[in-house]
Amino acid sequence: MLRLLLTVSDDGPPRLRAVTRIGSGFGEHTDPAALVIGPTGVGLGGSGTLYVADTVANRITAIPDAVFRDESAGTGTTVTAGGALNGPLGLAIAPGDDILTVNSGDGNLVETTPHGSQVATHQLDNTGSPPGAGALFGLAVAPHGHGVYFVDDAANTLDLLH
Amino acid sequence: MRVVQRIALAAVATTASAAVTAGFVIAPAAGAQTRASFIGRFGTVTTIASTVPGNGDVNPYGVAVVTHSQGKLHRGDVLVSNFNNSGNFQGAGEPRHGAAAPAHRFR
Repeated sequence: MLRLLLTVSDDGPPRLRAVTRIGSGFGEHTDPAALVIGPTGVGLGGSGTLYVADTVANRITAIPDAVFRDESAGTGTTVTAGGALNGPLGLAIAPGDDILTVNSGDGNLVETTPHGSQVATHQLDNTGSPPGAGALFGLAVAPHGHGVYFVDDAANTLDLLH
Repeated sequence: MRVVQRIALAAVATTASAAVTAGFVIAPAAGAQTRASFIGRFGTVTTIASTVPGNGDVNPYGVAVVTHSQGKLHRGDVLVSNFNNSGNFQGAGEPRHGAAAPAHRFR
């Protein structure tokens, strides 16, 4: 897990200024149906904590002080594991700092509080076998929190939950 | 010129089994506490667009919302990157936005 320090200008591409490893040791493996499976989605919470979708371990971890730390926190601390998680891939931070993840295994969107309570699930895709498997990947909160954009990897669509 | 810090993630991929947009159900997670959730207020899924650009790339993975207008990008636009090319070859998709930008753009 790397933090990249960039210089951004209005008239050119960003320039890389520094790279700092802030996390390490996450599980990863190749897969016949995928290229590589490993830590996937990340999202920066309001407190400066980086949340990581640790796909292989089926959990969400937290790397504290991600904006300023100068050394690896390893895999961080476990926020939540198992439960409604089923191979979490994409991750986004909701207004209020709850953590949104989408499962690779069942097509569900899962909401978890920063304290680790899984407070809601929402099925976004139930086709295929197992139902919804392999359909979800990236997600992003819509402006003003008016919904959640997500891509359907199998249907090749951009969708909005609202 | 401004300096910002951004976080990069490890390279990954996932499977792409056959599926189409489905119905959905709101339900609390097993063992979940009773608490107002963000996603609980939503009940509709609307398909905004196909993510297959003119070159036939498929398998959309990354998605981001533009937060600041700059160049051809306008605040509120959505960028999507495809992982596979038109032959469904993994990792060969060309991230696109118009002719030369990093992703496919939706407005």
